[in-house]
Amino acid sequence: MNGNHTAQEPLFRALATSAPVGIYEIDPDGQFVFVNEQWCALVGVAAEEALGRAWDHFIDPDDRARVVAEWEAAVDAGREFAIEYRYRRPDGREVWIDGRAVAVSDPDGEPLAFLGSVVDVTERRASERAARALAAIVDSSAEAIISIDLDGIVRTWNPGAERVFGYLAAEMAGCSIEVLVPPDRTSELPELLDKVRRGERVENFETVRIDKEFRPIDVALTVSPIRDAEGAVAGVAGILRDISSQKAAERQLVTERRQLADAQQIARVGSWEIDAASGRWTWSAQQFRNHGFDPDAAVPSRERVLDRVHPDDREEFERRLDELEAEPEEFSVEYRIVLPDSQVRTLEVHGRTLEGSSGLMGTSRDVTAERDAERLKDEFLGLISHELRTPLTSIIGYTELLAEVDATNLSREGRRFLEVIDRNSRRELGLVGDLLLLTRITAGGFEVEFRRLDVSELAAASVDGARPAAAKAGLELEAEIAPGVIADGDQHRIAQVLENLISNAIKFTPAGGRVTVRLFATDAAAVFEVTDTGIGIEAQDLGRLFDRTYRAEEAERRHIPGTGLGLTIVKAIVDAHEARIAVESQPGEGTTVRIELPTRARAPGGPTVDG
Amino acid sequence: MAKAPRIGRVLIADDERDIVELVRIVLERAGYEVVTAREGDRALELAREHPPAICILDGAMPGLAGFEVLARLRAEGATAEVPVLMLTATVDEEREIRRHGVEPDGFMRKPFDNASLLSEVARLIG
Repeated sequence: MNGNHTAQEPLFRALATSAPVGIYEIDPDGQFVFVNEQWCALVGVAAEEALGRAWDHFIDPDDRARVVAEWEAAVDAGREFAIEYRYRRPDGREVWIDGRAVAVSDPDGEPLAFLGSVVDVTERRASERAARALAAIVDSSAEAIISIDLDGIVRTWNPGAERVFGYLAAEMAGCSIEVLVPPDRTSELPELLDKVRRGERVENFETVRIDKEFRPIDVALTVSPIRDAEGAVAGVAGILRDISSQKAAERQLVTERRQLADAQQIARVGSWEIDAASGRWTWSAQQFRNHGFDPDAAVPSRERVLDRVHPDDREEFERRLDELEAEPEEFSVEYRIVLPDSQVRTLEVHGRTLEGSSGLMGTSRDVTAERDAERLKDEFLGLISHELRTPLTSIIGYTELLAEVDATNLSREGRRFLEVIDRNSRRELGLVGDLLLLTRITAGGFEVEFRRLDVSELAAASVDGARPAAAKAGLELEAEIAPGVIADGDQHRIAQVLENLISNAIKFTPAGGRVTVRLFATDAAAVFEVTDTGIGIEAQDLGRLFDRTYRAEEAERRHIPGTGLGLTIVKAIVDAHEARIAVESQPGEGTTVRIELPTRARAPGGPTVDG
Repeated sequence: MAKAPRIGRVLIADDERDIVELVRIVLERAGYEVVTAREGDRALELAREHPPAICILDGAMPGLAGFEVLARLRAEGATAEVPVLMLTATVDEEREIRRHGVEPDGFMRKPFDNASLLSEVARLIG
């Protein structure tokens, strides 16, 4: 060691040995001439390695320029050098230090030495950084993060709290947190504070707070104790998450679920789902009720459902279910359920595949009342026609007999009366026939007898039959009938269709108009067209034209007589022949009805019939 | 009007007297001999005593209905071959046929006119 440096002074030595800081001395050339043990421990080198080294040798290269600049500035200004910087230890660790140094000068002001101290501030800086990061998180959080003391006085209030509650941090500092508590929840605060005082933590406590505008806000509240250096609870940290939109969505969901359940119960429509992967069934409450099961129980097994299905429907039900599980697709099925009290219900089930999965979802509707009503109506219709038929047989038969047997004894007036009876009883005969046919169609007992038909002859006869009616209505009746058109069909039924269409055209065409009947053959069909210049059909009526007993508003308005049965029967006959019917109409201008009867029809379940 | 020659014996059974009378008059005027019954049991009795050329039966008479009479006629050798024309006012004849397991030779749906009755009877007697 050099002869005249400060470190040799006993006082300095004693100080340097006992001080809890690193101490060094640098000569005017900038080389270490003394380092104490604490300095060595801090920088991680032995004294021998340091002495003689340049003063900036151990400074982290990243900090060196900054430190040198401060050193020079301090020397120039004759002030203390003070800066925080890093040492780079030989083991690679960096150490943050608070470095200070002063020049020791001779009486002429020439520096004799520089004495410096270093204090390890690595930990302090790390905790400062962590604190800054925490502050940034707190500041940027969407949640309200608040700290209060144990008396409930607000200490910190983050921007999230400003957004959620509308109070600024400056407004809330020093205020009681009570302003956020709604009047009906005032007991919550002391309870929460008590828990925290005991060192407990409360997580996601769902409650309500009020904002600056006194609006209630649903919040999830988490509070935990803040402890002082001794570990005593000194305050409360609270995080309040605004869950009002989530709560609103939950309430909405609950409302919608209830509405759906109510709607299902009122409409007697249940819904179900089959998961493709697991094959698991999910049922709505009404689905349970429709099948006579308790909605609170588990979804019944396939076997238990099958048990409920009417024995006559079981085979079909099982077959459909197997098909669906093998290959899900859109379907409709109707089956009956026998309840434990032997009540029978009819369910109408529709299903379709779920979007984006191979699962199925669908509905079941209790159609018992509808089916009962339909059956009752059909039975009634059957009964009515039955009861009408026997007396009508006598009326027609005896009228005929009277005209035949006793004609010579009748006056001219008497014969005219007889004609009126005859004409009207035949009209009623037609109506009863229609009713009967309709009942047969509904009951499924409607069959057609296919034979080779000369459709041209049939059409001509129908036109001839309608001539008196057309003349009476003041209409022109034109026929454009191609000769020799042949097709397979039921002679009586086809004649019935033609007569019906022509009579409709006449009925709905005002006097002075024209009805044209055309028949021509295409490659595969006999095409029959009836065109009129009548009142036409409104678009809204077109779709319901073939519904049973449906009558267009216009027909009602003009008091045009009819039952609305005609076209239903026409449609049934057309369908039974696998023929097609099309209607084109312009209200006020007229209507064309076209029927395409396949030239060679297949009798249901049998080969083509040759005439 | 002169009576036509008798061309066959017809048995008509219906619980409606007016219908029985109507059929009787129409057929007699056409030259048939007509035997009448107002119920199924009586019709069966008459048919057994003297099998007619044709039976015209109301399908739904109270007591022994037409279809039941038909089944018994078919079951007995003497009457098995007698053609039967069934008068019906039902909606579904096929169901009656299935139910009784017998099919009549012809149907006449009520209401019918006199000419159709005559032509059907003539067809069945052959």
